[in-house]
Amino acid sequence: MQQPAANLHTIEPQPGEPTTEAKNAPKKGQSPFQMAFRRFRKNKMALVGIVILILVTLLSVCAPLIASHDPSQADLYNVDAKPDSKHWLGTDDTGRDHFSRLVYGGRISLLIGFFTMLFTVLIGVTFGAVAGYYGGWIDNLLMRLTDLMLNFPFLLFVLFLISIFEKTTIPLLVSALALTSWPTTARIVRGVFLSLREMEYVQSAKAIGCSDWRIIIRHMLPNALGPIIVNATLLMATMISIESALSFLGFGVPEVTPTWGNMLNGAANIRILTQQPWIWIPPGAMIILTVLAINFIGDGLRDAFDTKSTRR
Amino acid sequence: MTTYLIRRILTMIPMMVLISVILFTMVQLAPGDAFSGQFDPRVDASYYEKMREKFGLNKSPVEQYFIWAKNFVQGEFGLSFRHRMPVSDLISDRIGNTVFLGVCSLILTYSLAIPLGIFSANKPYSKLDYTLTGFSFVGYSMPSFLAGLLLIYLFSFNLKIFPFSGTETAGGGYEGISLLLDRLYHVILPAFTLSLITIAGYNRFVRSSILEAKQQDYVRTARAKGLSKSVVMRKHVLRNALIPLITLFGLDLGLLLGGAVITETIFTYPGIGQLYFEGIVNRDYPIIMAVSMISALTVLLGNLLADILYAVVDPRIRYE
Repeated sequence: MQQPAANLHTIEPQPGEPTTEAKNAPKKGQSPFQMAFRRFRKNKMALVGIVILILVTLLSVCAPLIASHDPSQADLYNVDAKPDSKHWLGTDDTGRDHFSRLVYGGRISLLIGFFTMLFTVLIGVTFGAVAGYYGGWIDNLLMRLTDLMLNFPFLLFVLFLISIFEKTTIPLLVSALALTSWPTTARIVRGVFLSLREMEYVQSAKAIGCSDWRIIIRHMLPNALGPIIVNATLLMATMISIESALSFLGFGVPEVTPTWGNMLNGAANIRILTQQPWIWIPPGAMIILTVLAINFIGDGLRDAFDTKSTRR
Repeated sequence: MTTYLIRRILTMIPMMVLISVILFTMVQLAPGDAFSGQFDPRVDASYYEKMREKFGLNKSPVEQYFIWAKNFVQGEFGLSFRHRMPVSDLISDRIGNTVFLGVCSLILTYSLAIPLGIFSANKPYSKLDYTLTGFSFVGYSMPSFLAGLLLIYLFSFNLKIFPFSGTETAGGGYEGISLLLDRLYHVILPAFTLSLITIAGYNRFVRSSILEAKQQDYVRTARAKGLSKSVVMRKHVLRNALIPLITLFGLDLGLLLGGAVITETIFTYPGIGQLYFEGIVNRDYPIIMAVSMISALTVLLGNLLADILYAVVDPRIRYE
């Protein structure tokens, strides 16, 4: 598994590009966000991604309406059942309805993905913005810290961090992932802030005596939102994927609460892997589908915010 | 360049020391040790005390760190709690397997991603391009453990083509070239699992890199002076477009071991990734420390390699 959101394979949008190139001249009164939205709307893949993500989210939100059984109700007289009209995806080894667990599992997987992304971005943006705005020794210190974090092999570190605690809980998982994943975001944001710092509007805001926080939050942050949003989207995809990997390895959410990752845990057992594909293929498919949809959206957002890569 | 290299290598030392201090602190924070979990009423409590003394667990944390650091520098990684043998032996038994897996997966990555990227870039927005892009997206979005499970399910159980575990046929008695072939046969599924994400990512990277290079003025100049399309492609476009890949190679090295933990665990492939996972499950801290340090070192060396290679292929870059 790779470092989350280490988008080595993708070209980050160049921050601070002038958005008023002749061939892309905005219509009067269009903000950069409106322009990005217009470009995004034309991207079919991204729209497909949005539709899939909405469907998956709806499925999870409306889980109590859709699920046919209570996901934690064990039925010891009916364990390891094959799919039939009563249990659409059969039952697991304690007789819980697998389809209901699949529907409820989406809730936790999406929530973990979302909150981990949120906290990672919060930490990364704070560090990156402070480092990029102040420069000097603060920048130096924060970037050495970032380097240090990046030099830890991510997955090894997260596994170790989680294994320290006796019991894995959802808040623990979210904090362990956020505390180890922020460096890439911090680097991206720092880069944007370094170039924004030299902009005239920032200089003039300083000249009229705006406080540092006001300049960072009101003037610079809105102009750095494009790269941050793209990074956040791709992060969420990575986090859902990592949560599933950790749960599969047995270091994720305890099995009582279904998530797509820990539902796959059974597939480590060769009998389930080969004889009961209906146990592990559906949650696997849900993970791929969701991550794929979010990646489509992230890719579309990148194209939308990057004025250079207009389609020929 | 030489001074630059020396400086870079020297800055690695404080980095490694910091990393080791953080890891060591985490070990100290962890509840219990390898002996606290296995209480056996038939065993006298003094036995555990003796064992703790033997493994040096009753000394102060600072003292323990210095003992550990001194031994580590000398290549002595301590005794594994579980295996009751030196961690350095466990690692040297297995590191060859991990290196073999890593090399195979790197070869797979580059030999698939570059040609596929070139195909895509030759006819952008064609059916072939869309198909390849689609596959890349799926490959990029699939968690590697899931890819491993699917490969085992399809190729080991349904089609029965490839083995799903081990590094060689048990009791096969192969030697020389047939042993190599047997090992390749066993490594193919894990290597593909490990490289799936990079194949998918680099394929996209090569494609967009070539498309960008094709638009440059020097390409138009080369075409204008009468060079054929294929010569321009080979000598002008590809040379420039593939430079960034060389940097990624160094960064890749650092990521390999993390991926190996999952891949080797799924395929019960006896490498240091699997050793690490066992160590985590059994709270075998000497193993965790040693493998973490090795992989942190790989990341640092990989980054250094990336910078060096970049200077080698692009003469405009000079390090002072």
